[in-house]
Amino acid sequence: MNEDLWAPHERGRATIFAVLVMGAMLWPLRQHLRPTERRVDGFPLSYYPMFSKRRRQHAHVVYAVGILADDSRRRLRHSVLGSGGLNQVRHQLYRVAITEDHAQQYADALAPRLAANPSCDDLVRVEIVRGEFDLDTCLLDHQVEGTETVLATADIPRDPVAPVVVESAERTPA
Amino acid sequence: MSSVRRAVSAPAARLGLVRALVGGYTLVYLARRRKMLRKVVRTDPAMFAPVGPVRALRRPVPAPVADALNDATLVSTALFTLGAGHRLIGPLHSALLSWTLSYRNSWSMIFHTDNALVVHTLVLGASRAADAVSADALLARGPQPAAHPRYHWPLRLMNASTTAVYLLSGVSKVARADGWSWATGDSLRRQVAIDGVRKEVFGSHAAPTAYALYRHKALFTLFAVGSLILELGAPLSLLGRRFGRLWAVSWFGMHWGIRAIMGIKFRYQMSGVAFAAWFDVERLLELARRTR
Repeated sequence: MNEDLWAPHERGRATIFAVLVMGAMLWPLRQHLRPTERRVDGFPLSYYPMFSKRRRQHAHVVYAVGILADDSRRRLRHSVLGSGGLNQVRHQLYRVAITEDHAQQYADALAPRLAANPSCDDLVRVEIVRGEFDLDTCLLDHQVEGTETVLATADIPRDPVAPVVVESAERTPA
Repeated sequence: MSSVRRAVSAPAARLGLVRALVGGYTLVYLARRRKMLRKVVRTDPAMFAPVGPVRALRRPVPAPVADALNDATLVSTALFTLGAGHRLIGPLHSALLSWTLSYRNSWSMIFHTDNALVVHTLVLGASRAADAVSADALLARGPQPAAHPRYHWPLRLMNASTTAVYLLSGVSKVARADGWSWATGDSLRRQVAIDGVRKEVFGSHAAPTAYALYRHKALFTLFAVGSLILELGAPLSLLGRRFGRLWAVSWFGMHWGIRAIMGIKFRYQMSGVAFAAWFDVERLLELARRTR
């Protein structure tokens, strides 16, 4: 066979495949024609909505705070709250606490898991808070302090005989 | 071979090595996340928000099934990297990888950093990417195939899909209600700030560079204008190889810059593998042969 030749239909199949791939890649552009609230992101085909959002000087973040016996406060690390990394945990917490308005259920489910976590032995209570931050102040003063609104709170059970199911420690509360 | 034909041809080794590089990257990427993926698939089903092909599901599959699919993807990745049974493994691997990464992204957070990897794998899986630099080629024991357009179009398509990712990002920035204001750099500066704040309140740390650069507004204007030019001008990189390579190197540097300022790791892009299709990577094989 002459090596320069294409196999039968090979070039046609390649062309159709290439058109389909590029068409699919560009298909999410249509999201920009829809109202913002009706836009849907996807994977691996995306319209990259994170770049469409307006960023203002003040920003809100929902996160969890552990309270110690002396009333001092400590922000809880994402790995204590769930798996999948910081951004996944952050999105899940926002979804439950704000979008679904179930912050209290989240706190109630989180508290026993914190009781089972040795790194949280010093905590007596957990709070789910919505913090408002002045980004300029935070970054220019090198101090990430905002105004916190408590959305939910739950005492951390400290019963030494209460058994803890290991599997539950891996689950993100809803 | 005519000059036109030569311009639209590529050696089989170039495509084969790009396949091996993309596969090798995927293998390390998935192997290092095996434990994490086992935890993620055990997340509360209430958090399930399927994307991509996973939208076929209404609820998550049982965790052992998800584990098995993750492990099957690891095996298919290894075979894909070796170029073994590519006619079957190529499409199978791209299907498994699409599924696994979509499933990983189906828990209320989409990681856009993996988009290009999935599309590149799809292209490689559907092409004759194992005619050289592969177990298949070793077993066939034939002569190295001549340069041919069939080894060129997948590389061009990979490059085109890469440019599409950046073009879409650029369009997203200027399609906002306030239009081209993204070019002032304010949004980018705020994006860096909010990212840093999120890291701090979730027990991590903002990149020190974010604090150091935040006061320099002009620098962010420069970054914003530069990124918009590279994003909206992305399709132009397909017009010429030299221009394309310059564009690819610019983005490679840009991703390392994003890592330094925001602490965000676009691993595929930072590894350089995402841009390999732009270069005559087969020269690395010749170099390796000569130094042996």
